[in-house]
Amino acid sequence: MVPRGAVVAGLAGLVLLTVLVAASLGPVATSPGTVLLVLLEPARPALDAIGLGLPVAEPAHASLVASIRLPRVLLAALTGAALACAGAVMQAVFRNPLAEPGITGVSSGAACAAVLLIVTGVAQATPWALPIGAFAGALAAVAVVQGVAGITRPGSAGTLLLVGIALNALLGAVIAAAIANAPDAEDVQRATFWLNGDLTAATWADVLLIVVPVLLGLAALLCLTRELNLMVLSEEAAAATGVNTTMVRHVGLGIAALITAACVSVTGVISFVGLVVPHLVRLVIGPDHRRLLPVSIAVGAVFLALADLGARLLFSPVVLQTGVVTAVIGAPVLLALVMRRSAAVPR
Amino acid sequence: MTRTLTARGIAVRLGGTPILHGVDLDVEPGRVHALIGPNGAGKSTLLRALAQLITPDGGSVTSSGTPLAGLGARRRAQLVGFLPQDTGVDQDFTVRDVVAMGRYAHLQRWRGPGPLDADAVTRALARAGVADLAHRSVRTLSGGQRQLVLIAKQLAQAPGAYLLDEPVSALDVAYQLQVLNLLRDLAGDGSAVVAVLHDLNLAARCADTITMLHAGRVRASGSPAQVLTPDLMAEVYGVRAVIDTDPATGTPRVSALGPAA
Repeated sequence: MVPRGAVVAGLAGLVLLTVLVAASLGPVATSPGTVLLVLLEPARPALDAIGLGLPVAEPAHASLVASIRLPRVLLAALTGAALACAGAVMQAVFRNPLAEPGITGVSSGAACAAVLLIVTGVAQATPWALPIGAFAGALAAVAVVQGVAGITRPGSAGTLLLVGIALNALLGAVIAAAIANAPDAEDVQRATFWLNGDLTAATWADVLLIVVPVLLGLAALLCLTRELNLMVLSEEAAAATGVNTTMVRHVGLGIAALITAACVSVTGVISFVGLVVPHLVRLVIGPDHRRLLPVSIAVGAVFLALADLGARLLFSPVVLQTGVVTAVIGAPVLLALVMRRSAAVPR
Repeated sequence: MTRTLTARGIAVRLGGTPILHGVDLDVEPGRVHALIGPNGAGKSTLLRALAQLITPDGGSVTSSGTPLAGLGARRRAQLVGFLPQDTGVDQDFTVRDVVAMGRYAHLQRWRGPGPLDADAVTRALARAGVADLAHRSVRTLSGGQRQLVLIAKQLAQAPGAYLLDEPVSALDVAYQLQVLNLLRDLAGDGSAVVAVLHDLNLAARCADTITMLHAGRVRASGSPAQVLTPDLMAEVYGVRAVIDTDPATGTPRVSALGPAA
């Protein structure tokens, strides 16, 4: 066994390396060293004091990295980490490999609120209306799903899934109607961009808005790994082994929904990360959540940061939306996984 | 830990349908207690109510005087273990990982498993006879091996009373004997063991006490010879049966011949 500390350090190093590389690439290439200098800038006085003088980065490059690229890359990494972890937790709680953060209505709720705000012009007129409205929409959708599922058959993960599917269909219809009847064609494009996940306009304000809730949420989910292991075996057996399954289901799904809501409210809907990343990781390292969750967090961060890099660079000057790239990569990967799985398990 | 499991007046309704009507049950430590009865008699429901996996609409379950209803899930799991009938395991965990999960109720939240836990897992694997499978994936096991692994997980949990829902129904005769011997062994150590068994002859051989359920009520309870009678077989199962003594084991032997007249 590789020591736990080494694995954690390796994963953190991988994420940092990805951030450095992704933030250094673009139409104007800079060096990863410049990015590192920008990241270390706040610590410069302290480092000077202990005699470690830092070289000065080329100002134009430093400002490009600091004000445009770094927030975008960090937002992508945070969102990827949150979606992948939320997906892994939801797949465990629902005991369903198709569960993903969108299933409880989080993404549709956020999308519906965002599209309505965009086509009515509110989002353009009021600075914080879009993320706050989207977050409220996401939470409202989750509350409806949990509430209805709780009334009909408390404690059944299957019911929750069905209610989520129904609400997703309803909200999808509202979104389609709102876009079809938008008074302004420019708003239609804006809404479409949002629906496909768009990090183009990412700012430090966006990063600061979600960094604390996402990191706290990830830390909380990492405390549920033992319980999730027992629950994927059998929910009833988990309860008989001493797991408070109702608590784990509510806390796990609640936090997964919250961090997803926080992310999609600033990035828009990003598909496939929450579905594919945990699958891929599980296939390689197995189903033990004590490893699955931390590795999914790291791989999710790297995956979305690289997907966003692809969105910026691949077809330059045509810029794709990040959500389009994740779907274009994610769909074939998922298909390959399914085929490999059915070949490996004759059932 | 020797503990008596006592149920008084257990009443359960599922989806509005009454399943159990005031069932009393006493399970002494050191004894194997078989629950028998036709399909739909309420055996599995009774087991779940005893384990507090469903909340009874009436009645109480106590473990040596401690009511289980007010306890947290962890404490309850230290007193009562439950092995469900469905043994499907489709996750790629190793045998040792699965057995180690049985220690959940003994672990502290902020601390990993210690040497005592590792020791308990090793002993559970050895006792269930699956030590040589420890590093295999549970997905690759046969039904019989998987059942022994899940029983090893129960052993690692080390509850005062073991409740098992049809632990041998899907197993071949060799595994049936192995599992039943293990249950006798556990009782020998002073645990209370309750198992739902469909095979009446195995129940007669393995159990100290048999409780026969019929339509949600206890119809008879006592030694195998007291419960397995032609009259009760006709009344409860609706079959005409001849009951003699098995010359090899000396326990009652039930031969069901046809529908009761």
